Amino acid sequence: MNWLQASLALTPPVLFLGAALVPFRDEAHRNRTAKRIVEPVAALATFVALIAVAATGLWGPVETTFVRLTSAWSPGVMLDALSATTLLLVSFVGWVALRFSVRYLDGDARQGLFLQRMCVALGAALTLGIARDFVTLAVGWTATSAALHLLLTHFSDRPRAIEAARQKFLISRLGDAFLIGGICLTAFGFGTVEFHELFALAGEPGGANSLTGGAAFLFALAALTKSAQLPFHAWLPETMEAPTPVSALMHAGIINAGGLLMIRLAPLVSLSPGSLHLLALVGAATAVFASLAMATQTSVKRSLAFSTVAQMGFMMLQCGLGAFAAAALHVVAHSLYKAHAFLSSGSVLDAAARARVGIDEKPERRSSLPSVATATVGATAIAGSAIFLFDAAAKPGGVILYAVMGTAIAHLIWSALRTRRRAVVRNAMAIAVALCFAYLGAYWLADRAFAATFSYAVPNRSPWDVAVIAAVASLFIAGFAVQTLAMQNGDRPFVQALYVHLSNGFYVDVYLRRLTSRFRPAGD
Amino acid sequence: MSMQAMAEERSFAVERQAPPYADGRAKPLAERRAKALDEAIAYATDLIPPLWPLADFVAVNPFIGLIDRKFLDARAELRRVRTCETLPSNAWLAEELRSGRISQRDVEAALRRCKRDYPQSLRGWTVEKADCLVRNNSDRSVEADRDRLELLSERVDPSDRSDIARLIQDAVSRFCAAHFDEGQALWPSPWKGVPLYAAWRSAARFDRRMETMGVIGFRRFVERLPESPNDSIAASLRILNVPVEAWPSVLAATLFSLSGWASFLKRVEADKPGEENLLGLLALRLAYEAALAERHPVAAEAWAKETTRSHWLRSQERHGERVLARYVVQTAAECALQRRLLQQIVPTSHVGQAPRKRSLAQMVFCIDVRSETLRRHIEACSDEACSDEAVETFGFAGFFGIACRHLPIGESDGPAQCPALLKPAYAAVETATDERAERVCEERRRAVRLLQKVWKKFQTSALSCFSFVETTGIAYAGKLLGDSLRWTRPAPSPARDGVSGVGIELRLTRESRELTSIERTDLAENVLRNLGLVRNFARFVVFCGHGSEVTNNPYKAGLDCGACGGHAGEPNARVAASLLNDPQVRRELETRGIFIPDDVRFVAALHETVSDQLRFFACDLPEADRGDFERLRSIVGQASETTRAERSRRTSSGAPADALRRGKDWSEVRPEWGLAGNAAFIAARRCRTQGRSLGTTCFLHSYDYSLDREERTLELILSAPVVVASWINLQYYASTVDNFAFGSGDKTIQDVVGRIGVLSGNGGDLRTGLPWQSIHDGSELQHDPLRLFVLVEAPRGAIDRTLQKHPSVNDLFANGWASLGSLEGDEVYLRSPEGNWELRQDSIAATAASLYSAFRCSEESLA
Repeated sequence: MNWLQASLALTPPVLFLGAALVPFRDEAHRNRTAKRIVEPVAALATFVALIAVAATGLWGPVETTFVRLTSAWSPGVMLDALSATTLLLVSFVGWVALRFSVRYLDGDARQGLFLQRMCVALGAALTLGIARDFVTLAVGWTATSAALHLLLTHFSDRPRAIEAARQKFLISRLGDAFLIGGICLTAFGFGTVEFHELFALAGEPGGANSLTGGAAFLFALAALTKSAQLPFHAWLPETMEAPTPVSALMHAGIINAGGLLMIRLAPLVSLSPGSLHLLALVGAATAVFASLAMATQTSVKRSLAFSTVAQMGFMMLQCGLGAFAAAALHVVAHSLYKAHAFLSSGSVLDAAARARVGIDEKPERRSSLPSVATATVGATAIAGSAIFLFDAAAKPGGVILYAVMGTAIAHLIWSALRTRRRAVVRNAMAIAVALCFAYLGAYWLADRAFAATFSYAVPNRSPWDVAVIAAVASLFIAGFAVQTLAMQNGDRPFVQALYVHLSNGFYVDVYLRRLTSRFRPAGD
Repeated sequence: MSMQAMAEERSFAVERQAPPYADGRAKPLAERRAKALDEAIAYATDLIPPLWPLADFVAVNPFIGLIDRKFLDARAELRRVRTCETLPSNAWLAEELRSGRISQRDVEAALRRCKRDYPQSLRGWTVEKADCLVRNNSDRSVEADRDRLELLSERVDPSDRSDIARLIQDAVSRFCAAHFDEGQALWPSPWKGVPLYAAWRSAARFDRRMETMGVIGFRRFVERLPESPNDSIAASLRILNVPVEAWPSVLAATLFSLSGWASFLKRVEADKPGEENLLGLLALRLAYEAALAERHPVAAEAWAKETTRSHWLRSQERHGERVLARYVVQTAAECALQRRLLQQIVPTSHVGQAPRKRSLAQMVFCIDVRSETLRRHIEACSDEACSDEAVETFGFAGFFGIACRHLPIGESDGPAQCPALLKPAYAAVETATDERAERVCEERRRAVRLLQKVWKKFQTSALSCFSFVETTGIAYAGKLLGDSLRWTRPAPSPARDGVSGVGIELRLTRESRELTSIERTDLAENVLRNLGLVRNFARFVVFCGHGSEVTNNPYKAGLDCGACGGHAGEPNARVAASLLNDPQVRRELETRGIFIPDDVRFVAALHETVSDQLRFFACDLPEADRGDFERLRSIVGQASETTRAERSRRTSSGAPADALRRGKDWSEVRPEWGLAGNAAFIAARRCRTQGRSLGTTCFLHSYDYSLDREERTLELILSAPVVVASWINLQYYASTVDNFAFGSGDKTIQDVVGRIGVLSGNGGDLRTGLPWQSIHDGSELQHDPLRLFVLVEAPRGAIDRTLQKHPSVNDLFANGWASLGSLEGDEVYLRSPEGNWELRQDSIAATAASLYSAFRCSEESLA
């Protein structure tokens, strides 16, 4: 069975990379060939990934090594719940994005090249997903970044594209440095580059030492850099110079690499409270900052980019709180949502027209709003406490996550109540209940699916945990306060200043631009 | 330099010593300066064409402020202040010559014509010279003569090697987007209610962007600026030390550095004239320049000196040889088109007799160039189907003369369904069949929309966006699958929200009251008279509006009916049909000499231009009409198919059935070709063009001079549809010759901003005009950059009389923005720029010759 499962894991990346290497006579031939083959190849890869998911579900996780090179490293692949999920997610999003690109870039003189680069990026991202050791992971990590760089400079005659790609390049190399630093530390410290060996060694009594802590810290920094977290986020909103499918692929398949690294290394990272705290604090700060900055953005793609930064922040927060299964769920859900959001960004006028209410929004004359409101509040309370009581005690920091969900539901019902229309309130309540069940169901599923992946001990609580959770909570409360109060008080100077700074993303992009311009080759 | 100018120069030199905002100068001077400033501002703002927001996107002539200048003079003038090109590329022209599409005789005719236009520049030119200059030239050497007044920000480099002009453009663009945002941002700008300039000053108190970029003290600088935009411009000009004579050019160049937003604001001015937003934009953009001047006095001084170079001052234009050669060859390309087009005109001897038997239907289509193909196929199919019962077609502006606002059920405002030049006087109000049903519909729609709004908030609010993703994200896998396989639309169409399964009627109102029967009859009579349809009514008279059903395309409005303000023409068609079906209106019409037999049914339809299908709105036909109507329906169905087959030759896949996919595909960037290819406007009886394939080059307006004794219809045609057609034509022209300046670039990197326009990539200015994909299929241009040729079947005298009444229309022809011909029997006269008429020798051939170039797609179908 091992070999079968290993080949299931290997097939999707090999298919994508194979599609990228199809020979061609000239550019026109390349365009024709690539257009013809990429979609079937991606569809096949998705199908294989689907089988891989089923196989993992049936037979459990496997690891296969092909050859023993050194005592520290035997190349191989791993197929467990996490890598199977990644395979399916990235292949599926890849299929959607490639299919989209066939018509979307029709007539582009370099469409074939573009499609092949997409395939390389996908193949590399998949390699990263099935890695069982740091070497494979680092190869996938850097190859993804390189392919992405080429995609971002597809319109190489646009100065803005070059500038943006340069910013991204610089941040990515910083991330690479963190990753390679971490790998070196583990390789020399533990004498292995394989995940499970490492987890076993670090997990031994006394394993949670400064070496483990240092490595985990570097990996956490690498993940934060890769996933565009504060203060490394500024490049992401500047990547709109690439065709829309690249954005879809990047926001759905590539930016997750940071989160994936953290989830994959959960057993190691959870041994280092410092790293967890870093993830939680940076993630929460990013989530709050970016979701507020998103609210001030006026262009579709840019606000989607800030939304990604925020969502990645929330995912990092989940990692930092030890809720790795939740983080994995968040990655998958966000990828699918964001891929669709980007590809359908041309429909913004249709979507806006649907939410436009032309006639006065006066309330119904004869209304039983008070009773509806009472029912709503009751229902919310029940749903909220159900969520809250759901093993809140077992998961450290879970309180925060449940509170976020509770607030969101309350917000939904509150804004429905403000319309003062029975039909709306009734539907919104039905939706709220459905959402609560969807939430619980998804978590239950994710917990079960990824249980095997995270077989590690819950770290001991320390007073610092409480402080971090308190800090995270106050960040969120501050964010919520700004959202609810500030927007209605636009005439206060403080609010105005905050608006201006937020809409400018706190000028981080300017600093980044100044930094990168130093690295510009002379005469450019 | 004249004595007076020198004296003035000296007096300003003295004044320059004064501190920037000090008051109390000599009064006459101050007055002179104020007047000069007003003139300079008027000059700059007049050059800007308006831009409509995406939802009502209609074509605009990008040279609208320049039509009182001659074509080449306008080019020179524009290029002094804006990086742009207004002539086709040399490569394209050379290819036209090489391929033989332009004949030697065309070049001769063109040179004759051009010599009269630019006698001094073209003195002594020969055909060989023009020909040779274009053939042996490359576009690169043409680029070299580009010489534009650069702004100070394009010269200085304050901090590290960043491009400060681009950064300023980004900053202003972002600010404008926030100020005019129509609901994209959940947290709107706090200064949305105030005029642009005041808002900018308030925001600039907090904004540290410029200072982070190295312009230290910018916030303090802005605080010191005067409160009114006018004074602010004066203050900035003083700081920049620009001499008075260079003000117009400097202000125009400043405004053109944000031409997209300036155009958008030009349009906003019409709604909010008091806010002086365009002036505000000029003031704030100039303030950045002034701030830089304070930081970089040496560079500023050098720059200010340069603005006085005689080149920047308005004077007699001189045109380079290469430019003139290109102009001659371009005119030759237009002559070639005229030649080919005139060969397609049916000679009087071949004009068929009016059918003795009554026609089955008379179908009225929009003048849009896309109608011609379907019209021709419907006529052909009806000939085949039942030779004794013909279907006649007409061309008329697609709003059918009813300038109304369309108010969907449950909404208090709606789109203006009329050309951008008009203000809607009426409202077409959607109503359900009975009052109860209407209340239910309204309530249901409101509930659906409000729930959508609540949901949207849940999706984007900082409070709930994380939970939104966690709870619904997985479900997007299904949506991705459905949208990819075209099972679903990314965003459902809002038109049927809460009203599905309910019969909706349109009621025409004026200022929220019902129309009197006189008013209704007036409208109806106007439609029929302007259409030239006052007798011999067929069994069915069909008003066919048109619209484009596309998915995931922010430029949908650009593909919809321009005569309906960038919307589908369905409401107008339905209103027109119901007016003319009204028995009372018919009785009234009878007293005015238009007798409509009782069995004539007026029917509305929508021509869907992606798939060329026709959707009828005729659910209430009497039983007796059903049989005939079914015959009409089958003829039209057949015609749709053959039309698709003809049009599909122009698409990459070439399969007719592909047209049915394009409209539904969310990844399709070229659902249809829109009005690409337009080059001529023909106002004539249909019999003069019937049976001849005109491809997608012609706007066809039905016009019968014999029915227009008072020349009122002629006046209407020349002053309205012709102007709109010329706007469309020049928009396509400009987007083709310089997509960077006048078009909106590559669709794949467009980003919809504020729900009003698009940006390219990471930022920059608001884009105007057409995307590159709308005019180019990847291997070649799908639109030939040719100026409109207007051919009217009317006597020369009548045309002259009409043009005298409309000087702005006359400008179009006199200054070379379009050309005009008169079709008198079998003779064609071309109007020269001075207003004389010349007989074209080779006018009308007895047989149709083959067409190519602009007629590319239809050439085979003719065979």
